[in-house]
Amino acid sequence: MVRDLDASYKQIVEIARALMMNASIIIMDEPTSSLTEPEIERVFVMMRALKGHGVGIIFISHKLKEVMQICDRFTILRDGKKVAEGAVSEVTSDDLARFMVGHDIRTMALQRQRDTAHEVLRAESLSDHKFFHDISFSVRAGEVLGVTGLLGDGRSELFQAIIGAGSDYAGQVYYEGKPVKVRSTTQAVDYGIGYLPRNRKENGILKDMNILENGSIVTWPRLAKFGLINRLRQNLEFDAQVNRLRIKLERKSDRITNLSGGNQQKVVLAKWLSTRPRLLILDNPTQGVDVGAKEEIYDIILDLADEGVAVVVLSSEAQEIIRVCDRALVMYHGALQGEVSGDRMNEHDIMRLATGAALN
Amino acid sequence: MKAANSQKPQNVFSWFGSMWSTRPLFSTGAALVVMIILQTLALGFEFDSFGSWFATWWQNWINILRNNSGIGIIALGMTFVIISGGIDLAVGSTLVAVGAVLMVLIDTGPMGVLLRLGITGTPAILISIAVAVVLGTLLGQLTGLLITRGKLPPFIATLGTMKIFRSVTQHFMTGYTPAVPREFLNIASLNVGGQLLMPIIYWIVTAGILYVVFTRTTFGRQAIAIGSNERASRLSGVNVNKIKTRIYALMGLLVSLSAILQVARIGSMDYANAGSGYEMDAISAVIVGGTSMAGGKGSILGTVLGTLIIAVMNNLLNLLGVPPFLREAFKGVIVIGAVLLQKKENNA
Repeated sequence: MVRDLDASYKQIVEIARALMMNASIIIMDEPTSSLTEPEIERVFVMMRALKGHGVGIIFISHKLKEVMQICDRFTILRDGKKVAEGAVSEVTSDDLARFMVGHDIRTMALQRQRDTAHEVLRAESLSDHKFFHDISFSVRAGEVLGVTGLLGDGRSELFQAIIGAGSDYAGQVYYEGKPVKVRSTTQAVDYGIGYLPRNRKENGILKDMNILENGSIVTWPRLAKFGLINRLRQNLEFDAQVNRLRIKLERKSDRITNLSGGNQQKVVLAKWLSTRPRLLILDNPTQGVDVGAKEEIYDIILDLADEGVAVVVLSSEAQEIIRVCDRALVMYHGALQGEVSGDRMNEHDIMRLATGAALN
Repeated sequence: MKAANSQKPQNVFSWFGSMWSTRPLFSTGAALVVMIILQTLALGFEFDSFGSWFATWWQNWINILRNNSGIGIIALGMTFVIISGGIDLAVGSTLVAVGAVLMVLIDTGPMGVLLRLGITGTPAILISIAVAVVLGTLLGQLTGLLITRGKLPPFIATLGTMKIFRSVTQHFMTGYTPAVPREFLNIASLNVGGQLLMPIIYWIVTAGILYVVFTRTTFGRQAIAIGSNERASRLSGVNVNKIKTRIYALMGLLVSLSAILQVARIGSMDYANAGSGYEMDAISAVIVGGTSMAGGKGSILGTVLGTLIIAVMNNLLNLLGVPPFLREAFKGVIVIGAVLLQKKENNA
């Protein structure tokens, strides 16, 4: 069955299907996003053969390296508009990156003095042999570490594995200096690790439950005595978070789905803040959040770091990374492609690393 | 939904409409009230002899409650199972298995296990009850482990245990009719104010305790959270496997209570048929009571109301002389009608 095939062969089956239709033009939408290097090379060989037979190929991709390798001409779209086109032989991948971003923005660097001597989390060559390979990094108390990359870079899988909600991995994680392997999210909560997931609707909210319960679910075991949840403390702790995060709501007993996206996200954040985490991992924290709430969430992230929390922000938006992070890891195809900080913390360099190129 | 809440209702009809669409139990309660009115009429209400009419009405109600206490207790546990997104088809078979073990222990005949060990009287009763409760809980726990560790869909896991528990029980119990001692029957038949109220009291107490467990405890709320969004619950630190296993263990515990009640009421057990259809009756009561099969939504009070609706309807059909085979059809109509109504409410 096709489902038993390797991702690259599935891709090739797709291409074969296009060939059987005697297509004269084939549109390939990110055909290499799920493939490894040798697999990509196989697809390229096939593409060159097709080109030789007079077939036109439209290759849609984020990966500038591959565009430089396989394409003759390019067209760059940004926010639904065509911003550049031309022959690939006349440009460098730097130029392409600049066109994609639109400008050489150098957002102000974070001018923060932080005492970041205390290492909270250290990872040594973590691999799950599927989504991420040989990843090493560390996060210190009081710093905001960004982790970015393009779709399929494996960052969510990496951190879900670290908190015990993902696949098993090889390698060693040190938390507060001690070697640990978190086996479940329950254990992660006990360690003081919080994880705000991506895709709020699927992973973040309990649509049938009210705002108060959504904002306190993680702390129920702590709030309970002989199993009975202390409602007074539950309300008090949540109220404190409502004030701090400026959550706009009518009644705490309303369904969570009555709230706007930004306020829903703040409620999800509230449940983690009430655990007083020492390490807080935020996966796409401003997904589906309006611009105003976005800025508020950024301020909260910086406040948390000032209070000494080690914060990890996973995001594919380079501007977001630049806005809140002290330094950022850039992943490409499950591997750590590089780290940026200081002057290197700009969209151009991040984009270069995210598309598989090296910094010059 | 919000608009209906904030506006002042203009008349009885719009009040009714807004309550109907905003209060999840309103329609269930309304259905029960209609049932009770019909039942009252069917009993032949007369002003002249109110006293004797009331006595009949009251006696009828006690019978309804007593006859449905066993299924009522099981439906309470089924609420936890269904609200967490699961299902338990094995409750009837578990009831038979637990009942059989209980009777083998307590038997006053030559085969009675406790008697042969020289244990009689109150200690024998207490031991047999304790063993029954532990056994029921363990069987539930086993089901829970099949679902969580074995990663079996609850429907499949409990379909399997349903067959296993009943067939094994039937095999070992064929041709064996234990005699239940008089004192054991007192558990259910103790007189309270001249009436046999014990089963009803067990049901009410269990419902009260489970209401608190459901609304106030970490376990209860986490069970609902799992049914609402299992992934989000796990990512919020909920130990999903542990809670699920406990839900099925609780179900087993409640089934064993029901088994003890049944043995104590009847003094014997038909291993082929006892408890058969209980799973569907319990599921029906839970569904009619407004709990969603998809999980995440429902209540203990709703399940009690749902159990009563079906019970009162059965009684009504009986009073009206509807043939027994047709009565099941009405049950089906009620279940389908309830779910259709709930769909409407959700869309409102």
